[in-house]
Amino acid sequence: MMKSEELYMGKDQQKIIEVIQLFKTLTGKHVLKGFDLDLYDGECLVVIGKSGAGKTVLIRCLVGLMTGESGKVNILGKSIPDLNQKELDELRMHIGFLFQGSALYDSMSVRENLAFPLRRQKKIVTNKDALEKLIREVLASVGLEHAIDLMPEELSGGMKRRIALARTLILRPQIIFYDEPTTGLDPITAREIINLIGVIQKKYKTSSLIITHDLNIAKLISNRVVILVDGKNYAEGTYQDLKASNDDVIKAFF
Amino acid sequence: MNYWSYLRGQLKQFVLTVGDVSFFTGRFFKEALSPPVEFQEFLKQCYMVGYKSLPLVAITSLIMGMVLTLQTRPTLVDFGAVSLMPSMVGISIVREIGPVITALICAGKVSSGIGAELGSMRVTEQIDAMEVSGTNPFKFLVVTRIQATTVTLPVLVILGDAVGLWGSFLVENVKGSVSFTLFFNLVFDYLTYGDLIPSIIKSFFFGFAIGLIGCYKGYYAERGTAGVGLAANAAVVITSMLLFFIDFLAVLVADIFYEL
Repeated sequence: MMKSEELYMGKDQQKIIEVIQLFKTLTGKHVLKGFDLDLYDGECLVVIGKSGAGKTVLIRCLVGLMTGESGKVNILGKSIPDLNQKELDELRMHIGFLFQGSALYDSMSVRENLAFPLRRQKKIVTNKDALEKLIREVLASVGLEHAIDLMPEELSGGMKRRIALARTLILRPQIIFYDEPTTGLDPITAREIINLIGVIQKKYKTSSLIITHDLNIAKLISNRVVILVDGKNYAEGTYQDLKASNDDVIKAFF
Repeated sequence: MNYWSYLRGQLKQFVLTVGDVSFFTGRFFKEALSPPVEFQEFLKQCYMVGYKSLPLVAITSLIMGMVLTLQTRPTLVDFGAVSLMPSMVGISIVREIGPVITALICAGKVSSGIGAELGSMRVTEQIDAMEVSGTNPFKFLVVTRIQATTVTLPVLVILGDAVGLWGSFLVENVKGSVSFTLFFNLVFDYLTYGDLIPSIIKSFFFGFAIGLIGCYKGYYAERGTAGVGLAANAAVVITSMLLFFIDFLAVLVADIFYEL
């Protein structure tokens, strides 16, 4: 298996996420059994695995929503398990997270949903006009400027996903984590979301870590693909390399 | 044998829950006393808890005052003590019935509402979304709601007492032709601060319990949408039981002061 820095075409880039031998047990079941992963600046890395393989647990460990029993998780040079709450909150300002179910705040309009992460960011938003401008700008990025006053229950599944993406963008994150971004969407909308992720990555110069079982994402926008099997990094490579593999386990994914 | 092991299991679960709630309460005080203060959300929750519960509390209190008068009046008439009716109703409502009924109404409406709302936010990852956006969800969701219920319940109790007394007056006025002034003069002749203050103080505790249990059950809801229903249901049941327990303690403490 080739090393990740050899695989990624932007290998001169800085390593911004480093996961070393991460172990995590949930209700007595070993979910992650020494998982390793690297993400480079500007890279789009897709982690694929079967349902229940531990993909969501992995991404939750990365943002500090869960803590592994052992192993290292370094993001932007900071060790996640060693950060206190304040330091973690500061680091999270540089990380966007698109949840599987979009996780829009039901009681708030689209405008309020987008303004929410900026409540305490007086440096970014100095006044109401600046806030409005920023909200409209990110909404335009996802093509939903007209939805600014709608409530989440008035949005379709695809629109919710786009608004959730706009909410992650509003803090101008360096890294965006996507948890199953196309799950529950029809094929056409799913394709639109995949394209949007690619466009946003280029426009905002973010790095992306996408957790999915949708091979279209890996095929269309990934720089590198990691296959998560039995709690470990089973294989990694470009989509084409992995597709050409003769390994039965890898072939099962394609 | 099985019965004992079941009982042991239940007891263990009870002790663990009490420990969890104590930890949750400790965290509430820690977060409530540290900046930043989510004042806007607190005001919003006061509106949701207080203002939105007002019609229900008012209707219930009005009926309660009327029923209490209707049921007691014949007995007092038999004993020739109908002139004691306003003071009796006044003391009953202010000391006990007003706070307890208002708190139970709020346990049903507010505590279950908070449990369902936070439970739904938990299972749809909205609380996680808040956390990863750098906002402390405990402070934003839990602290503000508990503060709001604690502050607004005494106000609701006072308003509920007033409406209850007015309901009693309506019945007394129709049945016995008592004037508004005479009725309330008789009410206040027998009411003392010793009746009012303990009742207001225990209302703060009732409000705290309503917010605390609703938030606790909702914040830690699990098992998907079924968990939301369970959280709402458990919030009402546990809060109602806790209210009677607090009421008993409050009466016990107040009684010590009366005897001094």
